[in-house]
Amino acid sequence: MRGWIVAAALLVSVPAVAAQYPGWSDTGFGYYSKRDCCAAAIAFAQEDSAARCVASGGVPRPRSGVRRGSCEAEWTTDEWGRPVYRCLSESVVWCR
Amino acid sequence: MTRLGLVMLALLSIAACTRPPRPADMSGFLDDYTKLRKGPPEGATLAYRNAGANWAGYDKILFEPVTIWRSGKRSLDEIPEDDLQRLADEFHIAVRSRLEPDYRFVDQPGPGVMRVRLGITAARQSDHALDVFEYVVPPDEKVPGTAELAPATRAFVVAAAIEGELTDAMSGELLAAGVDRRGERETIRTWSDVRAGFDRWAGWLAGRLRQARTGQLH
Repeated sequence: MRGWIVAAALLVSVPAVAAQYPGWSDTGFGYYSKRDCCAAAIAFAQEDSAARCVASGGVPRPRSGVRRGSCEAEWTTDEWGRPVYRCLSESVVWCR
Repeated sequence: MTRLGLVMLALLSIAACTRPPRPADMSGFLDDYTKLRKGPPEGATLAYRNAGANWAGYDKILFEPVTIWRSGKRSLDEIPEDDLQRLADEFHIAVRSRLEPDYRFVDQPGPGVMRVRLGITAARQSDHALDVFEYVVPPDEKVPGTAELAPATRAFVVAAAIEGELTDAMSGELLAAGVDRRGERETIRTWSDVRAGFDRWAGWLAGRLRQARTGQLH
């Protein structure tokens, strides 16, 4: 009986299985470079994903040095006719 | 063909060589494609060089992480993440090792610092969504040995272009930019082919920069 209790306690204390919580972001119109706009949007989306992981009781485990995600860019022009970008991104960091 | 037809064909060919590329056909990785023109035969397909740049004034490089772009949401998912990492890795190491004899690598902008941004892209501005992968290569990263490319990885490599720009790290002034999408990538099958291709490209870049610094580039 004691063995079963120990086993049950061990099972309960096993860390949560790795999960993924997608994060989203919207930079608003504010970038003259699509590249910089996408990079910022993905960074914000990764932060959002990490925050959702923490909110669910997990610990975010982003892969060291890696930044990845989707980027949907819209553009308009400023008063001098230069393109200004807005980027929406979805990204996921590992959560344990 | 009549003489007039030949003249028209010649004029069209010249126009095709001198007009800027259609921005919609480009990825958007570079900030401005309108300055690009047909590049030298041995170099980038499309290139721009700032004629007023003081190339001899740059002795340091701020090398930003290599970025991979592909059109379509989650379009990079079919490529193993280790392969994406390795592509960025191989490219970064090839460029760095070719430029290191001539430049000191730094991590902050400052006087004499040139910012280098490079991308491996298979995307068009006109496509709504992009998938982006960026990898900061650790300094002691070991590049693995040779192996056949996975089919999805090879399909991407064959279709991809190399895009890059050099700017003054302090002022942001554009010094040079280029897009290289030569067709010889069809022959790429293994990681050593990829490595050789990156090394050839990096060697060409290092050579052009050396010529520019010594005033031999015309």
